[in-house]
Amino acid sequence: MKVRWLLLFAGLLALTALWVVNCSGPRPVASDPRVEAPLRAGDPYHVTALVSNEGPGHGEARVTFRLRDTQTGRVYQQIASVTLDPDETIVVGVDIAAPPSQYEPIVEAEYPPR
Amino acid sequence: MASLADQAIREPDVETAERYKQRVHWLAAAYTTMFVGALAGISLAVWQAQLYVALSQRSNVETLTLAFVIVFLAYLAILSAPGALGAARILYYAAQARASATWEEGERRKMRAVGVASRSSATVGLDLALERASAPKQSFSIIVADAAGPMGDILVDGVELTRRQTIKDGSNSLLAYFIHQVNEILSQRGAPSEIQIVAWKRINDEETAQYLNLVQFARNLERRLDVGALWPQATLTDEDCEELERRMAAICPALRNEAFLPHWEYEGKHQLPLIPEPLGLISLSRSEKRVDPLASMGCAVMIVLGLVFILMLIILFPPWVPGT
Repeated sequence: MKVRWLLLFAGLLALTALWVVNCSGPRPVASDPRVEAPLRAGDPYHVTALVSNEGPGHGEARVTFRLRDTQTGRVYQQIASVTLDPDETIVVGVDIAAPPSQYEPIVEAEYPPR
Repeated sequence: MASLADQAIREPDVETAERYKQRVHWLAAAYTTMFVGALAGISLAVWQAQLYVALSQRSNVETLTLAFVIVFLAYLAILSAPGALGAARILYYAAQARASATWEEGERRKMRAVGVASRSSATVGLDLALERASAPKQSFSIIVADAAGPMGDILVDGVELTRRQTIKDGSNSLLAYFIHQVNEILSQRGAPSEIQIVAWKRINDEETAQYLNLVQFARNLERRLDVGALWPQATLTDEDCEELERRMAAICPALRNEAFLPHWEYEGKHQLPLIPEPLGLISLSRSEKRVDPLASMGCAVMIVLGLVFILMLIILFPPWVPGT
């Protein structure tokens, strides 16, 4: 009887492992956000970040870039979609139109895209 | 040799006093685990609601499924809350008993806490009539009591077995335990020992009444005709009854603990659709007249733990969904 239970438990464990390996989506983590001021007046700011997949799966994640004006607190936002493979790290960048000022870049990656 | 259905579904862990005691502990643990697990599941579903809604929307699963999971878990939490409270009271009185001068004092404190007996008594129907050799064709009772105090008795009237209790009622399992002991005592002295409970009044009172009246008819007829037993019967000696009372005394502390727990007594049905719905032309089914609370609540605990495990797995490893 114990052997049966052990086999059942092992089967469930294997099923869970297969599910995690084959059916998981990515676990995106954004880091190192940077902002580049435009060279010419009127051009957009360019914001970049590193997005790493720390999960075993692959799929499409959403990256939200925000530029927060450190003086007024006003926020400018842009969204990008990225496709991540397992153990992949990519550089993602977007242009955000904003008036000249001092900005703090904030980047968040989420899965599943909401 | 008890069948698998007996051991696992109808009457689990009623073979010996020690197993009966363990059974009550398992039941208390099952209620507590189900209550805590259900609350944990609801908390996970609410805490990560955005994740689950996003996953369900993007994978074409009805978001209503989430509501169903929450309602289902809430239902189980409500169902198991009295059991979890009972388990806490068992622990409390066990701790009090350790501090008592004698174990009888601790047990009496438990009896006072449990409260007085309710009006409804547990009644079951046996397949064979039980008689006492010293008083044939008459009802007799087996006292359920130990040094700490009386717990009522079991009235045996032919095939009808009724538990008459002095404190708040326990489950039908006491009667199942009683029959196991009767069978064991009969087999020890080489008598036929295949007595089974075939009707449970608390689960199906109409069928039980019908069965008991049919047997009463047979017994009235045998008195009227003054012939031997028309309905099959087994006979207990006075020594058997004394041994039964000793065995009943051994489970009194477990009965007092069990009285703190609710008793969800149901019939059980297992269905296996060979051709599933909407056609549903063939399906196999098997039913049991009684599912012991340990079996039913044990299954519910497994379902709750399985749900909580899946909810946690989805948080840790969100499944793949198609991109936009």
